[in-house]
Amino acid sequence: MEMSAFAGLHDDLQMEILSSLSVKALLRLRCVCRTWNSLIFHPSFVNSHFQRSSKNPEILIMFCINSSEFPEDTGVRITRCTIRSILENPSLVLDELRSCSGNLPLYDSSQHMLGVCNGLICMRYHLNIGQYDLYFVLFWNPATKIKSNISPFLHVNSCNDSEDYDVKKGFGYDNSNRTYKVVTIIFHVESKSWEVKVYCMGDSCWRRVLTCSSALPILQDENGVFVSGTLNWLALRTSVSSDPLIETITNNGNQSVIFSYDLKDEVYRYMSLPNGLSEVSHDKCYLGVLSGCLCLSHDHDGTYLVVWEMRTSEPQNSWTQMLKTENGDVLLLTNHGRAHFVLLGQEDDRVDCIESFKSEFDLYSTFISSHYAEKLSSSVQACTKDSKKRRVKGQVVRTVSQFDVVVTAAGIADNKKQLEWELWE
Amino acid sequence: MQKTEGEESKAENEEVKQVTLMTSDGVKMKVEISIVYEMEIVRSFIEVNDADHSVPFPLPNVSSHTLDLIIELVKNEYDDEFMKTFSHDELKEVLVAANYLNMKTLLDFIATAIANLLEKKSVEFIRNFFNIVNDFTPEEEAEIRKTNEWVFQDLDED
Repeated sequence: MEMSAFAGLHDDLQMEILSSLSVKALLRLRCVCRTWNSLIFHPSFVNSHFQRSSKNPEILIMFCINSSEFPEDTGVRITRCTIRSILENPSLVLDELRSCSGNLPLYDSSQHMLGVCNGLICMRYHLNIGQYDLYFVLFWNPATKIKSNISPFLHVNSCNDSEDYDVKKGFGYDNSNRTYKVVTIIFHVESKSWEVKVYCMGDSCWRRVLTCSSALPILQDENGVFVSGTLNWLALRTSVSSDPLIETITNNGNQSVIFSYDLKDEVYRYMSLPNGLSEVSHDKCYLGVLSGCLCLSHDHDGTYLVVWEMRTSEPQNSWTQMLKTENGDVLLLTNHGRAHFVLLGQEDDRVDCIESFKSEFDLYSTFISSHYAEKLSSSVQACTKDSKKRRVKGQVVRTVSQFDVVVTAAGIADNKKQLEWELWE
Repeated sequence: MQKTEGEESKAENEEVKQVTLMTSDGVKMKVEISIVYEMEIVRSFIEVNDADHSVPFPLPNVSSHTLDLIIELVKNEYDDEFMKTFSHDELKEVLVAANYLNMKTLLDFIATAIANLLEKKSVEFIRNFFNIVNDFTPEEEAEIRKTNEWVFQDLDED
């Protein structure tokens, strides 16, 4: 590498700077010289760059437009922003979504985002052909705009009707085998049995890894929550055979647990919920990831919300209550594939949910992930001291995957008004 | 920076609270010890040797101008606005000095600031900034540019 003594920037200082740049800038700077071109794609640089971008995770907003009127608009659009920018100026975020161009084609099938892992998005598609339902996935790195080929098809026989079976799915990374895995759990209603099928990125088929003849314990429709090598769902552990498709509202005394699937060993196990929560109805609890730990949020009859964090420690996991909302708190929760702003009013102690983006894009399927970091980086945030910039009162406590928790200290009345106005504009 | 002592002890310790540094251009500068303590290279020396603070500590790789900038940056708790007044050469000099002095916070701050500056610049600007000579043939460079045309859009003016 040619370098003048005057510039005097050694390789390690150049690396220091390069690892703070976005993926877009790095793809441009490949052209600077041969050394940079090979360095930017070197695994150790990619890794250190990702480590750094992971320190400033962003919210990823994505939606599909399927317009017969404007076929040129058809596609998957994606934008990303900080939690702060959503709270400060949500209408700007929406403007960006409107103006960004589609970058992933749609197939003639239903689709949704299965998850985000290490900067990689997994999209899942569903086709119905005669008596078969076909599922397939593809992987997409939005930072480099590179997408994989589609996976092989997963066939599910649906000869009678769609109530024949139920499917749960998840996406994660198996660190030991260094491979991305897509897990599909298929429950056959009639035979009361379920099987687990796994697709490893790059394989030529889906493998059946597990069959079990019992009711499927998983009740929720959401994708499995990925945390440290496992996919997790809220589930019901019951000795009495019951139909899980019906029994979604009340638990009838059954015990709520977490169904945890290990991507490395390809086995599952149950984990208990915090004390007192195992009797609680499923629709009041949500799983998520918080600083790399599995998390559970619990909505107490719409009055306050508690977030628990699971510490993994041998021989037993333990739950720690890490957050309980109080008056004047603002929470930004993303769940059920869309964002809720949960505002706790000061007067009436109620939890108000504003399904912010749903109103704007109700024609499109929206998915929001809030733990996105660019693989190869996110935009760099210097410690800003810009006093002219309007600031949200309070601070981001933690950045979380399924639920991002933003707590404000005071002044909720003003914020609330402003948020509502901008969101529903 | 912490200033917890009362007024009296402050006056008393006035001498102790400064360390004299000798820059590459031979300037002796008295610097507050709280700032000096951010310079790991000096700190470790002072702590190990319990050095006589009146003997200037030599910094053969840092000019008095650069040291001035560093002191101002630390005093202003790394103020973005102040840093924006730096020339490109000053930014690079502070970066090199922060690395040499082993000032972790300053190094992160200045590297991030430079990255922000370069984020939307052209390839030509970057080559200039780092004094790197293009060793691609025009055909090779054109080939790479073609693979990702979108990354060359929306750039700043050089």
